[in-house]
Amino acid sequence: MENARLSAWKGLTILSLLVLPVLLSSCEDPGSVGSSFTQNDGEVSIDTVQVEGIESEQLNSYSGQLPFLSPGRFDDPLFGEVEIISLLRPSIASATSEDEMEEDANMKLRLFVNNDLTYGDSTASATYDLFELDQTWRGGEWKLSDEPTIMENAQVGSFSVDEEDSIDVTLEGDWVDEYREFFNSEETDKDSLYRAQFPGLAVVPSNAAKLSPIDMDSSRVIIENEEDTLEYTFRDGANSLTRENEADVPGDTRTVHNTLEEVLSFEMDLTEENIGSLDVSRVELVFYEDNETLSNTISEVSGPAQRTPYDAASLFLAEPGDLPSAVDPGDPLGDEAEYRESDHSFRFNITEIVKQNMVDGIPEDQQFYLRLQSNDGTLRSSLFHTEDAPEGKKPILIVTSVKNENSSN
Amino acid sequence: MIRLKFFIITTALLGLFTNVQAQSSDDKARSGSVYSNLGAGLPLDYVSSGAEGSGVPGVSYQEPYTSGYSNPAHWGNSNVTTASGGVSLQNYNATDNSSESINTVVTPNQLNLQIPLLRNRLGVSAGMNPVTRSNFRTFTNGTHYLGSGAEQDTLYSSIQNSGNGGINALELGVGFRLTDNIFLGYAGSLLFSSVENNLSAFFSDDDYQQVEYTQRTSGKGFGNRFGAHVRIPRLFGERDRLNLGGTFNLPANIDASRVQESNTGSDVITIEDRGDSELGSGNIRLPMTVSSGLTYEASPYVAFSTEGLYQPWSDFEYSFDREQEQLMDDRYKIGFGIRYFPFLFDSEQILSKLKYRLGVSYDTGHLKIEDQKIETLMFSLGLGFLSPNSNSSVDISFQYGIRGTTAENLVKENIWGMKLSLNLAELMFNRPRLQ
Repeated sequence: MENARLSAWKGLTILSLLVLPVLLSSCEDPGSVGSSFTQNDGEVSIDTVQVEGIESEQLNSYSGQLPFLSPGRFDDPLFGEVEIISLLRPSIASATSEDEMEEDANMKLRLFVNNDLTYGDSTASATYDLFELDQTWRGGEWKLSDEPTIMENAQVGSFSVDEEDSIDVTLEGDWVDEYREFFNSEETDKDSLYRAQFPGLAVVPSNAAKLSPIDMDSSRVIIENEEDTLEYTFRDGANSLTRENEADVPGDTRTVHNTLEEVLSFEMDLTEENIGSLDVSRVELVFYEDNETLSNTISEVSGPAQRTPYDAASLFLAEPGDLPSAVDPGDPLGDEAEYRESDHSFRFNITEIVKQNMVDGIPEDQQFYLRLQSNDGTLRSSLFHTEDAPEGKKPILIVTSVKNENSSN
Repeated sequence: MIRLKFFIITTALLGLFTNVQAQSSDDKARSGSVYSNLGAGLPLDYVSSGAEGSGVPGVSYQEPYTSGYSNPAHWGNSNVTTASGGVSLQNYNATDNSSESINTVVTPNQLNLQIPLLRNRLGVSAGMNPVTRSNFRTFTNGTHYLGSGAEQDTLYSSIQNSGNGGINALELGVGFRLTDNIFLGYAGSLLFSSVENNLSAFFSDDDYQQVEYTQRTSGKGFGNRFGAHVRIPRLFGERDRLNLGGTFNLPANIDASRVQESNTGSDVITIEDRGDSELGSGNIRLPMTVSSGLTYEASPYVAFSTEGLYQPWSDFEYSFDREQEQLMDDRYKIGFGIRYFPFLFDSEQILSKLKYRLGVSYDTGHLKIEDQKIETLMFSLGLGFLSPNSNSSVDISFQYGIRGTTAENLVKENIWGMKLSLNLAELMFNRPRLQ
């Protein structure tokens, strides 16, 4: 009898081994079946939240040792009469170098102009004079509104920029002799003495045609000796800007310059109550450019004038006391926003900053700042719509989230 | 040697099911009926191990050497200590008017220990029994339009909604013999509610982050059930017997709370309460249950049973979602079953060493959605395998059933299931504790 029961148990084992794999082999293939009466547990929601309190913040930023120098003058019907005088200081041979600048050597500046970044009439001829400066300066300490002291009776050279991308400018006069002394000096601290005592050059526009961005990485100082030719980079450079007679901008816009003369400042309530849900997938901050005003005003200029193009903007969160270094270079929130030509908008992905602050919100002593492009020595300006703009142009947050009965609204 | 073989085979069986259970911890084998999403989950009945496969809970008969926990009155008529436990494997093939899905779920069943204090007169029981079960996983697809005009873009989303858990009862009870053929019993239970609902949203564009949050509902309450069993021997002959049995569960209130945990990627934010939301404290009120039936034992070998159950789910209270309360409707269930025990013939045929059970049940269900009752028709077959040298057994049953309807875009489920119950009545369990 026990043997028969044991056989039955063996049969049970075999039966289980056969049946279980059959049931399991059907696997899982969960689909949308039943979703018609379970969908209230959460739904994707795309909402817009207004951004308000947009103001302009005027900053005096550092303008030296940047990738570009943009000397020139241009009368912009919207952004005013702009003039940039650029400061230059060529490099010299190091104390250990065997390079020598001969007494009768020719000295030239080979300037590479990026015509794509021209501000003004790119076909016009912009003329410039080079003068000796009557002051010492350091690029790292020079600010955009600082005024250089120019020895107008000590002209070192002149040049004009048409549509070419490279210009050789011959330098002459006492300034060249002073430079040669520093270049050939055998003093071990010649570099320090050079920076402290040698004033460099001022590139002063002599007509109002355009601002010509000079690429400082590519441009060179050329010293032509009788037997050889030496090439040196620039030791220092800076821009000094004056702006006058700006037009009144439309009341629903604010001006933004990449030079930080004006940046946008605003506060945003990123708490769950304002965003609408804890469970966000993407939060996009959208600003619209007033392209109509920009186009209409630049078209008032005779000739094929253009403003220096831009294609990005950056967002910062900082305390006002930390300006301007907090936004230049600062620590941008996420990636910069790329300009969308089709609707003239900048779209910032601020999902992470929302997630990090949705419980406690943004600290009261901090605000958001929007900077156009980067402060790279060019001059780029734009108009951004504020909350007073018509629907479709107001700055907004586009919040994509999952909401349920427990969401805040 | 035979005990060793029994032990090895039993271990192999449990190992096989444990392996299946392990797979169930993977999301790929955790979902069951989509209807278990609603309310406190699908109600489960107290079914005795000895009734598995017979289509009835077994309130009207008691099988020797198996744990009869469907009716507390049965505990007053046991003569050996018994223990039982089991697992279920169920496969759901669900369809609505437009799509189909397949879900598989493995869940533990009851765990029960019965000890006779006075042989066939007084016994006690302790057990952990599932009362409701929620295991589901559904997807909702969406299309969203961003922007307008030439800038309009399309974003596709898919929301996975899954849940698991339910209400379990930790129960202690006593049964006693009032007269030779009348038994009464009572069980009190601590009810635990633990349900976890997870939502994950995915998007077609990588710039959109996945969203995840979990809602946890937990609470506890007390349950009470009473049972009675009346035997009428020699009704039509010398060896027949009629059994009448019934149980009554009082309504139970579970004091519960629900929190939501949102995963922001860097943090988990917990919301415990919020104004008019579904979060915070709440009450789950389970309705009473009345179950009764009769079993006619024509002989020790053959018995016929019919039992019914009534639960007024229209009294169900679920303060976390009042709309779901409106989906509940009174539930009626009736079942018919036959059992056949050829092993009592002492035959040497292998097939004569088994217990056989066959049954069918019809359940009106506790849901009424869009004026459609979610009914279940279930067929079952059970086999009992006796231990070679004791009264222990393994009872295995197979079910096939149909639940729901595709009318009103509801869901019709074809259910295949298998249940395994291990009934121990040997080793340390084979002696009465007190005489």
